[in-house]
Amino acid sequence: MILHPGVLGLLIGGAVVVALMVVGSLVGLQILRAWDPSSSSENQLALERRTYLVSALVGVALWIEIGSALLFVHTAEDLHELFVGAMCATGSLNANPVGWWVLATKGAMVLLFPVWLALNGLDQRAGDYPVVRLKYGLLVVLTPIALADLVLQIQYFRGIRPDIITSCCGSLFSESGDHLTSDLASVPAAGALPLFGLASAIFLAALAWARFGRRPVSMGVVAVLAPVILGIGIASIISFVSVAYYELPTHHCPFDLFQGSSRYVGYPLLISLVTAVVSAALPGILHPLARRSDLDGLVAKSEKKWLTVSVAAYSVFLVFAVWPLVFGNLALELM
Amino acid sequence: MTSGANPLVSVDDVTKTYNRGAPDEVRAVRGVSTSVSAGEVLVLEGPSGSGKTSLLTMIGCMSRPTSGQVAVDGRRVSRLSEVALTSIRRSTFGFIFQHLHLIPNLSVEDNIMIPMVPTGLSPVEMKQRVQRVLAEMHLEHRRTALAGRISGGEQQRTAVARALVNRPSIVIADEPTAHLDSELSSELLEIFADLNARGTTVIIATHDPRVIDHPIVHRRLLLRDGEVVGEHAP
Amino acid sequence: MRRHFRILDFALASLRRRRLKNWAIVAVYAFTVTIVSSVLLLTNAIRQEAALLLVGAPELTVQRVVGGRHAPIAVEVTETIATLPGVVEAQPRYWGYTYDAVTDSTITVIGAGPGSAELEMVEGRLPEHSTECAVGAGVAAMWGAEVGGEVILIDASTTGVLYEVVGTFAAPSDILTNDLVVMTGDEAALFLGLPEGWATDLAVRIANPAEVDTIATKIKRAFPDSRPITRSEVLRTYDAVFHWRSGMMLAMLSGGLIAFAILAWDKATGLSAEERKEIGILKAVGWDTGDVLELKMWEGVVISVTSLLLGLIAALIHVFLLGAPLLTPVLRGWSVLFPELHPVPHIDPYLLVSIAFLTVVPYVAATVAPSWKAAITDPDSVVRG
Repeated sequence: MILHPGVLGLLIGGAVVVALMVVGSLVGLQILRAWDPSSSSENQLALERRTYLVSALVGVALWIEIGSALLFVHTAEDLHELFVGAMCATGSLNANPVGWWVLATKGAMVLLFPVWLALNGLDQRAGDYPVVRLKYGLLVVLTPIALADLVLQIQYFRGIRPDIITSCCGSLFSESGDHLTSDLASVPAAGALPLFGLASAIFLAALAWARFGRRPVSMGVVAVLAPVILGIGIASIISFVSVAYYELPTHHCPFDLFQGSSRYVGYPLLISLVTAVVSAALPGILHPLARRSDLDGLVAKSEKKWLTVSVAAYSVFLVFAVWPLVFGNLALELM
Repeated sequence: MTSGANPLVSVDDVTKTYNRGAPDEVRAVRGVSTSVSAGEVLVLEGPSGSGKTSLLTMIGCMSRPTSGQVAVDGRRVSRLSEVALTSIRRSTFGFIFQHLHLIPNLSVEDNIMIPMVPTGLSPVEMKQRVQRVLAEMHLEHRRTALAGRISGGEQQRTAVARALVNRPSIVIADEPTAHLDSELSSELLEIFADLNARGTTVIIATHDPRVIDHPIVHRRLLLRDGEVVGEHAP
Repeated sequence: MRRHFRILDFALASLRRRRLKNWAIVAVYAFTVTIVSSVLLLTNAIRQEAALLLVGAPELTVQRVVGGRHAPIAVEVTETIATLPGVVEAQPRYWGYTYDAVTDSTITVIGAGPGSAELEMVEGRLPEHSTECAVGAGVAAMWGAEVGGEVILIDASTTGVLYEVVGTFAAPSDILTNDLVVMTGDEAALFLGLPEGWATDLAVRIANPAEVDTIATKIKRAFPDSRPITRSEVLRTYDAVFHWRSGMMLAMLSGGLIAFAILAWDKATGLSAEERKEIGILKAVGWDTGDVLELKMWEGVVISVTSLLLGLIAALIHVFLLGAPLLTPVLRGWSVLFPELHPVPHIDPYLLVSIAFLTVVPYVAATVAPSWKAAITDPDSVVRG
């Protein structure tokens, strides 16, 4: 077990999120069990008040989780000094592969919690809590992820020992390895760049189509594109954005982008990409609910907002991704 | 019972029970039906404990009936979620309370702002609205004074200004004259008359004869033990 | 969006109206932050300095181990090591500790040689004769000795030896030079009572960092009683030790953090009658539960941010201006000379996030349920009295 301030912070954060989610789920189950929209008993009123407790708990959990995801990346980054052969977070994660799973659970939470909160917002603003069952059902699904996250984190930090010699980004993100990530790294920028440009253009066009046309089909298309864009975005970061920022044609490690030497540019890249993807997926996921008459206007209004946010966030991502290609020293070699 | 073709508020067999099932159960309202038409001045009259305040809070979307229906502007509100109910309350009703309930260590202006905070109006719009109600209530010179440090009459007018700032179509007042001397209470009734002349519906719960017998009142509903026992339309 | 700003605005106003109570919370909160961040800032600064001082250290240090303990090593071993391919140079080092009863402190004595050339002199030069020495800032201050002055130290045979001070060291790597006395190599060996032909350890310079491990293995094979230590190993040990120490401190502090969270809970649940009435008014004039909840959350955010900033500033002053008087005895061990240390101010954004996680997260989590309890006040409560 490594007693490191960042590790302690993560464990405290993880424990707090689990506590919030467990309390939230228990209250949610209580609400589900006795929920009776036709009744105006004091019991029903008390349950309605509790829905606010659940939203507050999950809302706070989401914020902690966003902070925690970034803190985890940075802690892995900071820990690499403890390992022989580790030069960045990749090395720390390889020192105990459970780390990659922690990364996955954190990613899942950061992607799923906003969906829940959006659903919750609709439910509260509509007149008669139309999706209350769906909402608390989902919550019960989310809680185990938070629990898994905490358990995996404990396992990860218990399992890493400073004397482990680990392989680093050099082998994982190099062009000669046999990992998926090395395949990504070896995609020539000449091919990856046009693909990224094309995908971005399609995505933005679909967003605009959904934003202004607001046809159900367009929302669906955008929601399907969103995870694809997430994948392409991350692949592009590994394939050429990182390279362009480091100005080293062979260095593909995305984690170095989170280091001070890259001016922490990884944070805006990741935050804007995730924001764009999540808010693009929301309308498609929640649009089917709009068939209920009491949600119709609300959903339409929110959809507009989410799509606008998505366009804005993706534009920010594009700026950060393309900046080093245009203004960096390595740009010409890649083109 | 007077009711127009499209009543602004309709109350249908409404009951309100507090602590239901408990030994200290209180049946504050027992099956009241009535309606309020736009532009009316209605008085709910009765001694304390007659259920008039409970009825008032249900009409004003402040609490939900235990059974029965309340509809505002044709929309049934009894089973609405809190957010939806609050949004109707905010946009349709203005409240004047017996004890005024101003926040004493907040300025007159800030007190008036409170109902607008959750509406998301622009700061400019908020300023304009405050300016307008301050002018209407002759409070411009008191704008920045703390609400706890102004005279009783000014406090009364601040409370009215706060009730009007969201431009309600219905103003609800609970025992508004209970703590006022006759000069202040007639000043308040003048304000109500003025509001009503401009089309605002006014509902007052009171047992103060100065209000009950005032010429602005269109209709009186007599309540005893949670039930309507009489109706007068002078 | 606007709605959120309006509610934030109102939260600020309502915090201002209860100035006394809120400053009391901020004071306790900020104190918690100060303690936590002092620990982190100090260990981080020491870690940085340790890394700094190792920059000039040899790639490989060779010790001899007898019975699992560090023992003097024969100087002639350097000749064998120097012949290994890849080795640039192998030099004996003489260093050790001496207790000085006059100033009641422990002093590090080092023989001038490899490594000491990197030490930054403020004034003067390194010793060239056996009667000369150069001292660190801490020793200089304790003895009131400047260049040209004298110090008397007790050697291994408990004889007082007089040395002329010919140089003093600069501050950036305080941790190394503060309690330092540098003598000539031979004099240091004599002073420390090392038998002739024996050194404390050996410093080995290696041209290609990739060969360090191979050469270490070869040395170990040639001299089974030796213990070669690579520089990166030392770095990692420093890292691990200091992380461990700050982690231990924080683990001990976690009791305090829990107490703090309980206080937060208590503060949030203990709504005054006045506040309760105020929330009732808000609800009555058109705020819904979510609005009040947001108001309470904003209040928490404002209190957290204020306390975090104040606590951080206090910690920066405590650690970098005052030299962390509250923590040094625990974190830095035994030397009384150490507290003189003034670490180079260094603020890492990562540290700030860690600090926020250790303090804000428990606070916010503790206030959710009480805030909700306050927010569900019935709107008609003000009418029903």
